[in-house]
Amino acid sequence: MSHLAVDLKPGRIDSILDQLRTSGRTYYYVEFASPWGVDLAGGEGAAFHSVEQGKAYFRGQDGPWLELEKGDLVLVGPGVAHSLAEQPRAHCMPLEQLASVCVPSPHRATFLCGEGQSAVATMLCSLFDFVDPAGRALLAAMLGRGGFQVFRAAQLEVALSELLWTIARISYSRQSETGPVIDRLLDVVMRLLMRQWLQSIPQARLAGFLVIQDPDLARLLTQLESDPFAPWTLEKMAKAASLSRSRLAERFAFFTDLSPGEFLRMCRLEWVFREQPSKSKLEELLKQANLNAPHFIRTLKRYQQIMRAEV
Amino acid sequence: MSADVLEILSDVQIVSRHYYYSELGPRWSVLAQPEGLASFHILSKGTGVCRLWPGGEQHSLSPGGLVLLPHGDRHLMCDSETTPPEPLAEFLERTQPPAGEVVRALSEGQPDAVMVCGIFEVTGFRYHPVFRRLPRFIHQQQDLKDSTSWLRVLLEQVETEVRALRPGYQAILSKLFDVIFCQILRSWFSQPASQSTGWLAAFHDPRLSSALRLIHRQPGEPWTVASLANAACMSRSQFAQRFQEVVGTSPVAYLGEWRLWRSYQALRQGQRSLSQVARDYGFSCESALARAMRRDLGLNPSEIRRSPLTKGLITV
Repeated sequence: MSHLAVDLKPGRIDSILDQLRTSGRTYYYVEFASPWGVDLAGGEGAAFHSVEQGKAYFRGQDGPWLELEKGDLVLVGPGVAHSLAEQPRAHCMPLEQLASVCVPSPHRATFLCGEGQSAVATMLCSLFDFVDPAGRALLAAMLGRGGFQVFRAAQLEVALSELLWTIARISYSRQSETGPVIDRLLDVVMRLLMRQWLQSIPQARLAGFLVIQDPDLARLLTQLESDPFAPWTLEKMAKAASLSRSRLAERFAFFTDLSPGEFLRMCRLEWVFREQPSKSKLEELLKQANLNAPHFIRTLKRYQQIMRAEV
Repeated sequence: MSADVLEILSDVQIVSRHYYYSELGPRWSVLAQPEGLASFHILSKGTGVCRLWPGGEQHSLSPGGLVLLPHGDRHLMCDSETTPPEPLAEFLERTQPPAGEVVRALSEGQPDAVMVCGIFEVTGFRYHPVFRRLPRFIHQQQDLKDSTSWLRVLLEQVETEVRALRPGYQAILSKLFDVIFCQILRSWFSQPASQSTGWLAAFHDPRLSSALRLIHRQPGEPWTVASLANAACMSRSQFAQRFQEVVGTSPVAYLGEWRLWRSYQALRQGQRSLSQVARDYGFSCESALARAMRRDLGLNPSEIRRSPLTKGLITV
């Protein structure tokens, strides 16, 4: 029971953030002239859009239109098609088509323009990926099922707004050879955003992000999350991670301060807390996992108390 | 030209760094010997002096003043030449940074000076044909009162992190210091002084730049002075003379340096055999590459491969 409330060692958040190393970045400092609207197909990489001036509307895959105001930032996960426009339900043209009528910059940042004469909205947009698969997994966890998240200007740390503004200004100034500098600034932005989010979620959930650092444990985590109530044993977990039992225990201790069994229990508690299955469904799952139902439910109640208190 | 400079800046692969945020009292003098590591110092408050030790080039610093010492020369940072110097190790032991990297050496009250310092190990910095030609001392002055100053924004963020020490601050500070380091290099490359002679000047010369690009992009080709001169639309003798004047070395020597650098990088990455690397970068055989590495870099190929720094490499 001692690990129901996870007491992370100092530096655990650092180790999570260190995995956020972006790669393959492209930047667009965009001035849109009325009327404008653009569709972005869900590519392999992630994207962010920050409103520098004016306002815009954002729509995730088949979702409602959301208004973005100056200073707001939207982060979009890989493969999530989305649209940006002047008004909800505005006519949107594919990015490739818009790009064909734009003035390209000689540098990495590109200046685009809509159909009108003067800009009504200015945005900083970036498409990027991560060096490590763990970075992608962390982003997916942060963005949740919808695949995107809107950060309102008022919620953002002052530093984040300043750094975004700095990136925009460097892009706009078209100073030469700024690519490596902006790329590193984007890494800082991602780390600040991720930290802000990590600090807003219950501590117990962080353990799951810590195992992502290790490719073997990350592989096991995928299997545990897809079927947490399978009758897992230490042997089966070790096999899924392609490790010996002792190596598995060592790795878990190194990355999470938890034993494999404690981590499995955390996964199961977290799954029930998140999915809220019916009583009969839960009983069925516990039976499938060969778990003592009254004991698990007592633990679950304590876990729920901790999680709600932290939230 | 920008693509070429970008390519060079992208070679900056930081493998480790130490960073310090120092709040200093009225009298301070620290003698640093970074042992071959690149370091920078930025004064965000107060005044000070930085000079190579013992005796050498020196610069007075005011807020926004920064110095970069790319080659790890021993140097003194002080409030005044009259303050007795204290070795960095002793200074750190005395001040005992409470959070690992945050140094507070104050007598009482508000600091007289605030200094932000970074020490970096950069992969192959000393072997890189461009970085090895950087001056021993780079000095710049930024206006911290300018609301659009990139340095002001970054220093404020460093200070915020150092003061709050929120979880994850080390991961964020390390990346902020990388940005500062890279931006100092970029600023230097864009200054007229850096473009008057050397590699950048060669890229400003339309004829030399075409030859330089061929060396950089196809180092494995069997280039000769004649074929490079042909690419530059110059006679062989004119080209050789002009290249020597501008870059400071002969075309063949520069080609050799570039091939060695690329071979060094390839061996560090560890994905190709020695013979494959030798073939890819224009060496007749692996023993020729090994000989060149021992002669010019002072390293055996096996030492480069065994280097523990490959893991965790931070690549732009």
